[in-house]
Amino acid sequence: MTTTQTDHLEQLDLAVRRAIDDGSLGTPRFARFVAYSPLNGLTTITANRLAAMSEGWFGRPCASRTTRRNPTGVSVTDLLKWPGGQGALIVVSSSPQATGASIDLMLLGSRGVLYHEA
Amino acid sequence: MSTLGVLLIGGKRSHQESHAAVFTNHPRCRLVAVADEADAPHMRHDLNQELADDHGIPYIRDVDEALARTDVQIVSMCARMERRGVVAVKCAEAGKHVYLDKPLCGSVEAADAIVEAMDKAGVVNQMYSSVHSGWVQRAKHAIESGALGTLRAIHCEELFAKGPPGTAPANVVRKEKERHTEFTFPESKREMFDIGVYPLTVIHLLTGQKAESVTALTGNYFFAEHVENDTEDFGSISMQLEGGISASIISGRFGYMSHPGGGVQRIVLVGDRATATFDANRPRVEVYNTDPSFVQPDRDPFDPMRMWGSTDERVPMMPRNRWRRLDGGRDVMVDDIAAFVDCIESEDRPLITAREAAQPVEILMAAFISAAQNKEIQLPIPRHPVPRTQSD
Repeated sequence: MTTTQTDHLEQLDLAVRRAIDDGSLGTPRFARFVAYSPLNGLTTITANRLAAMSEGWFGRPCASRTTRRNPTGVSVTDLLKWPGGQGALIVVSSSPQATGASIDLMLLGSRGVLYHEA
Repeated sequence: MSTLGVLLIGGKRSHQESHAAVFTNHPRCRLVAVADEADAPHMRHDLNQELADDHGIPYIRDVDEALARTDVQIVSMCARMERRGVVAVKCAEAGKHVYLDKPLCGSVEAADAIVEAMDKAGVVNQMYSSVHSGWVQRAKHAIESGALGTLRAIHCEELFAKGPPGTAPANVVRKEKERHTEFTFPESKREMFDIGVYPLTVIHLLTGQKAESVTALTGNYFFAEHVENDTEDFGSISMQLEGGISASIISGRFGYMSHPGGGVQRIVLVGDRATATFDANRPRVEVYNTDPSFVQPDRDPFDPMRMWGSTDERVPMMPRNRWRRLDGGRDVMVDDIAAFVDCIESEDRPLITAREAAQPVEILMAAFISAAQNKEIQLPIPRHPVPRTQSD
């Protein structure tokens, strides 16, 4: 990840934690990330960072993680599960070009959803 | 030009409500009758009669008698999920062209039987899907243009913004079952199954590849009704496709107030040259004015998840008019049925026949097994021989 992306993720993490803490979403249940990392080879690092953020939001480490990594390194897809039934799907790509956001998050809560695209 | 006679199997509180409305307005079709199996539940007969009355056509309580009519060329098949493996086969054996409700059916055994019957009969058959919508066609064009390079991964998602969320107990952890035989409930559906068929069909259209292995989770995240009926309200599937392509979906129903429009519909394509996103809600205009914002409707005990259009007649729902798609929110079923009728007249093959529709069924059945066993499942999954009368 670039320094700019790291800063962005730290701010996003804090913003999400505030939304969780103020009860806007109800109980957080599922996180879906679609992320774009401009540097090939950083897809796994980015996916790990997003998985760690999700673990923070769900309050404990995930219990299982299924990773599908393309041999070319251009994509990583992770499906994570937590003992409390929560889950996360993380798709990270590093194609030379991309349209769309570098971070696209949808955090589903029991009574509301948080969206972020940037 | 003579018109094509359409027999409707299934009635109110089924997708036949929508199918019938579109076939009615098709210039080359005319509705002939509504029909169902004689031993369908009493309430199902009443709901079928209601649809027949709405359209001023007879209701025939014997599907075999209805299929024997020579003035029927097309069957719009919305039989109960539990009976599709039997009824769809009967339609094919009667030599009728069949417009199939989605999902195709609720078991791989029934899917195999339907595919075999359709192939043997040589009838035109198509399952309803979103593949004719503009955003899916734009994704297809992007792949075919070569702009993305070789496709390496695909993610597709569909979430319906309906139902009153926040009622599922906070600490409920869904215990999935490997196999389901019941799909019909007044208050809820199996949402990964029922909605997940859309993104899975899109993935199959865009890649042309079958799944080799599946990992999935299901959840009871939002609705008490789904917990009470032991039906999932959400699911996510990660797949390895043939050709080394990774694929994933999320699907479900997440509540009236969870999205500014009708819900999330999105495709992400990852190629070795470029990554591109296609969104049903883009391009759009957004309008913010003094009109009251959308408020979720009162809970209707007969249809709390707002599954059926006829519920609007009992409990009106405010329009969501902040987000407005540039295509005007075109009804994809109109284009889908038009394509089906065109295929009959031109003797072309539809994009999504029973054969293509069987692939999402296989994936969804594997997904239930994966979620139940918490492990990756290899495809194809084992078949269990069943008597024909019970093939779904």
